[in-house]
Amino acid sequence: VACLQYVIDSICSKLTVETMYELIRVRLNQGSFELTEIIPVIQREDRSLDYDSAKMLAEAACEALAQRGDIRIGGDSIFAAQK
Amino acid sequence: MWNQFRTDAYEGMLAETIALAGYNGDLVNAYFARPLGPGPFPGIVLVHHMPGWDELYREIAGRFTRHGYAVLMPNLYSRFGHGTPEEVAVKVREQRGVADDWVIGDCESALHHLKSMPNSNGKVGIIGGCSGGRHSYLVACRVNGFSAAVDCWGGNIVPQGDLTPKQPVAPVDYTADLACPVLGLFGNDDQNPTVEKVNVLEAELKKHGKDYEFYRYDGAGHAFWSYDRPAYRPQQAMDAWEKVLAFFAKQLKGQVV
Repeated sequence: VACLQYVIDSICSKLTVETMYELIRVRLNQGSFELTEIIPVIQREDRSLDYDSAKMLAEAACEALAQRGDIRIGGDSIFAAQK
Repeated sequence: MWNQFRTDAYEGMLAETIALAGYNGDLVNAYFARPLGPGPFPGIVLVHHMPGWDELYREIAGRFTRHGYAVLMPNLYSRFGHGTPEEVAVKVREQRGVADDWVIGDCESALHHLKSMPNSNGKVGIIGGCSGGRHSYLVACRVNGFSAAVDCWGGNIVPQGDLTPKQPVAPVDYTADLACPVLGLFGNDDQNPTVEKVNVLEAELKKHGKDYEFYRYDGAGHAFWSYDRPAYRPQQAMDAWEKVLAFFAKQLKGQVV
């Protein structure tokens, strides 16, 4: 979470940690996805973000969720955790 | 300070966009808000944040003007073209931000413009938040003529990442050259700058015997006075506003608050 918050603060995004988690959860409800698929979703939520900034946010959020055991990351793909 | 105006007092202001010859003589647009009347009025160079020369910062300019300051906010993103603030911010992020030299030149030009106003009292401060906090600190170190500087949660004054060709020197390394009092406002939950980086900056100011005041807020993170985003913390934000208004009143108006 600290890393995700660091990215948010460093790029001065209006998004929050909770918002980022929610965006990923909502996308996962439609099935597994590639990391690149969530980037335009993030850019729509904060329209001041360029592609690379949104990608950094996506990576940091997925890493944080994976550490919590909420998702699995396989290569560039994001999966729901098997509980 | 806040809400202390007299209900029978005259108040008027003019706010408009103007063209300013900035760094290298480049024409940049700027938002200029100033009180009506003979003055004399102190000035403030307002430095916008990373998401752009936007509506929030125009409203901040208006707030300062209602407290008796002529405020000039250069559009540091002018060289990237025009569009909505968010559209322009995307272009700026794609090109890894603005060069420190451009910012210094644009803000120095704004300083001279404010001082040249016939109703100036000759004193000008500088303030900004986020990247604007970093820029305020940097400009106050590199440009002579400011009477006060306010750093609101400026990230990377003490570097947390790599230096870049556009930002080749960490502002903290210019601290010895700082020639005006500094007010610093920080949220303790902020991750850039972290509490540890704020400690480093404070130690550097102390080491060089600089005149500074730092206030650190629990329960607040980055950009906690941005009322257009979830980071807003009204109680901490209003206290911070009181600190800023008192600081500028003392340094730019000679008032003891």
